[in-house]
Amino acid sequence: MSSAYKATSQASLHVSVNGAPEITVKLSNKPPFLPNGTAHYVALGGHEGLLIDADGKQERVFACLRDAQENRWDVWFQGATHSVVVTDPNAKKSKSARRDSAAKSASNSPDIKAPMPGTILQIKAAIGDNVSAGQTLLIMESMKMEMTLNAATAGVVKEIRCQNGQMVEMGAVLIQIQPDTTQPNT
Amino acid sequence: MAKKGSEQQPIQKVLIANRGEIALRIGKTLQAMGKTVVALCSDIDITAPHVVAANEVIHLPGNTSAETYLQTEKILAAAKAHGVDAVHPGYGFLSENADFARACQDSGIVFIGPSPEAIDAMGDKIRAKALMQTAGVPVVPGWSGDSNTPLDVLSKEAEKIGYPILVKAAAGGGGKGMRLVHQPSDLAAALEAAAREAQKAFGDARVFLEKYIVRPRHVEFQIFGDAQGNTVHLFERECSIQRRHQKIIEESPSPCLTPELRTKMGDAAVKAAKAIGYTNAGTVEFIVGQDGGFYFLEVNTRLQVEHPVTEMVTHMDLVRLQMLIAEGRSLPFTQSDLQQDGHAIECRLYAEDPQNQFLPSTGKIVVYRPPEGPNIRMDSGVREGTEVSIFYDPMLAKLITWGKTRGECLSTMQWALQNTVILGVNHNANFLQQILHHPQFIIGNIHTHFLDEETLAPLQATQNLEAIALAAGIASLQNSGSQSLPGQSQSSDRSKDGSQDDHNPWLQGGEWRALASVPSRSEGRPS
Repeated sequence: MSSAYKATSQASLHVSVNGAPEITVKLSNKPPFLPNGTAHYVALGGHEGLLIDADGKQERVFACLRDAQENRWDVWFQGATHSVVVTDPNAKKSKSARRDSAAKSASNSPDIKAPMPGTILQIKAAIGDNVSAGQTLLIMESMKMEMTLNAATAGVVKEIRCQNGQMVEMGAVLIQIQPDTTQPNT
Repeated sequence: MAKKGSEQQPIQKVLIANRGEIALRIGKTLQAMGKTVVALCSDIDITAPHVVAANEVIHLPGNTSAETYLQTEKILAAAKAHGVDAVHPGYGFLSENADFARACQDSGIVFIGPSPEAIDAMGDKIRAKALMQTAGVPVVPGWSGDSNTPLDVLSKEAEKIGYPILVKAAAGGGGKGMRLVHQPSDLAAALEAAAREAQKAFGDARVFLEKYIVRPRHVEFQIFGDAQGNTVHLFERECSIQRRHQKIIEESPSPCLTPELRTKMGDAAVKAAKAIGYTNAGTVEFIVGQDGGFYFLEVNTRLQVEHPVTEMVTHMDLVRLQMLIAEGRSLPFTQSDLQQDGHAIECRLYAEDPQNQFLPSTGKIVVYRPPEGPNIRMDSGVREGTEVSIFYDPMLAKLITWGKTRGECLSTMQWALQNTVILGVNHNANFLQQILHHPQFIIGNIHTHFLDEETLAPLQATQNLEAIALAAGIASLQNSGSQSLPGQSQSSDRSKDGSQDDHNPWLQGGEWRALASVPSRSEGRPS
């Protein structure tokens, strides 16, 4: 069944590799090559494929989705892993909408969030405390490593949403900070 | 421990009180020797490679180390219930727990390691140092004493030793409970942090101070002692490439040892082992100054993570030797029979993100293709589909290569790392490559501050971004067709892809063509 194409499909995708400016990739699931056709790809199943360029040189490639929301992929190619974001300009959810929602979730909030799943070791602040930028507010542990979480900005501790010994998920808000608006914020 | 004279005690069934790559590695030798392997298993490890490979399994409910792999009483009770003859503790967990070793002994179960007395003597770093000093093994100047010593006394002692100094956990190891202090004003905070970490990691908050040798090398000697009183060393391992006091690249022989220094240090290691009547496998760690002076650091009373480099250059199976000794047999060779052949390097692959402060990375390993070839060994604790959790050490695997010369070994390692595919979690393969390509590493000019002082250059990156974009584009199209709702993809469950979903043309054929790739409108166009 590998060569029995039922229909011709074409797609045009915007792709950013390792944070570089987006390029547009036009793909077809059916021959023929364009005269300047750069490559063709043979799926080997699973997450593996073979890229074959116009001269017949081939490279193994592996791809793995890392973030479904962002459609971010890790691609192993020529001995290194590359981070790739793929956007379909024709998809229902427009790119700008996606960007807005992404911006919203990763806002410059001064709240202290768990950078990874782990256990809270020590909370070094109390509700109502005035904290300065860089001040250590919390110590947590993950995979036997300790890490300190510091205030990104000066402010007042509004809420503490964790306790000593508690296991927390990545991204969980641990301490809410009311930023100090009297100080210049960067 | 084969402590009771030289009576022989055949071992048939062995409990491996560990998990991950070391449990697997130990099990392989045991099974090759015809022994029965009993594994321990926490809740999430139920399908872990070390559990699958075993002959019998003891399930310990829970997931944290404290609930499972550190549960001495449960483990011992289960060992008895399963009728095991011996326990191999691996490294970490209970490997240096003298009480556990003693409890095994009292239950008539052989603890595959040194005697509880030797573990006790070496586990307390303060006592160990004093003992070695008495035995005539050179030690680093330092201070140790009562844990209630007031700060001003400690400050004076620190001044006497001279900054920079190290604050270390008395019961420590693996870099835990250790702090480097450059100036007096940082001493108090370092003492507090080290004590807290030590309390947490070892249940013992005591710390001591030690002079910090500038740009030292970490060179350790593998030792073996049998119950008959024979003690030998299996040469050195150079472990100077460390990040936050954690070894990440090890090799043997050390590029910095002359034959004379090797002999001197080997003799000192054997002397250290004999001073405590050491049996089974151990490691005597030294630090070596730039002037070639060497100082006793500690004895690790267990099989080390980096033991494979010794195996590669001595062509010996250290676990097999451990078994012989545990059965009360004598070492089948003497020091003069031993020599180093060629060169071996080990790289530790960790699930961590070098781009983001080396934070441990969790998640499912979606693609796992270890490199294969002559003189390449990969000791893995994971496979495709393994969930890397927050509960245990983030080490995924150890990659070891051998060559006739250091250069040959190094280029094999570079090739092997380049052909290691691990996707699904972040890892340090690229970081390791950067070290291996550093000009100072290549000439063997390394020390324990190497990673702090040297700048690692990014590897030459591929120019072929189109190829990467194409591969990701196709993967994305396949994925978006295999799911019903956009944005709810399950990348890891794609094994059924291709056989169904006739509506997604990207899943039908086996080939795709790139028609063209051009910069997007927004960027790259001349305005």
